[in-house]
Amino acid sequence: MFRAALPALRSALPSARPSAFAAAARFQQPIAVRTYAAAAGLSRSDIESRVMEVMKTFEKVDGGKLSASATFTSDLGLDSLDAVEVVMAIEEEFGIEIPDAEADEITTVKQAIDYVEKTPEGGLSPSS
Amino acid sequence: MSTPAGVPAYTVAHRLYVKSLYKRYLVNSLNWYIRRDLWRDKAIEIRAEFERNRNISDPRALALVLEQAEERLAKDLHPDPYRSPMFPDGTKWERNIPPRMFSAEEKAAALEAKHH
Repeated sequence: MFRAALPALRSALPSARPSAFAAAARFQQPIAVRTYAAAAGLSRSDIESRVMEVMKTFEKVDGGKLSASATFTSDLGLDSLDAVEVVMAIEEEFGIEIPDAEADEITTVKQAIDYVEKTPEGGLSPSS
Repeated sequence: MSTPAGVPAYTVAHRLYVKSLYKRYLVNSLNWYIRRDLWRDKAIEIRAEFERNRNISDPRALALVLEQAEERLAKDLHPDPYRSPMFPDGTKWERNIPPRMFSAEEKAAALEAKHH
């Protein structure tokens, strides 16, 4: 829609700022459009990198020790309340809700990734 | 007195409960705050309060503290909390559920029943 309107716009405003319009046109062209019929969900590598990004934002987490197999308490030095904050940050990152009982089971970064993969927001559905 | 099998020990149940309380406090405060930087201060306050009461070992004092915390939370509860779209009460909850697909046998049985 915007692409069709662009030439009209350009002729309507003849000499305003040609270079800016040219730049805008260059940005508009090569975007691959994702249709509504496309398969939704996140791949495991996407989930993993996003969980890692979340973990990096915690001051208490030592970036050097952070890995997919790290445990919250012994490797990363988080206590139980910090674990709650981690789970909450992951909930917000992926727009999911993790019930308390299941949040308590999550004690390693890998378990967090696995959990996100199982949720409707997270992984690609197993059939696809 | 030993705890019966299948019932979690008091410490485990208590830890779960405190974690749940802490999360409910954080989520509720996040529902009230629009600006993340302001909420961060609130979150630090909540954390400090939990840390202050960390070492209470007297069960009666602890019960009192927890009861007061619950009361305060109930008083400040957000009337219209944020819900994740795909989860109960969310905007996408139970939208576009895939229809039930019938198997070949079920189809045949239904046609059979219709024609006779």
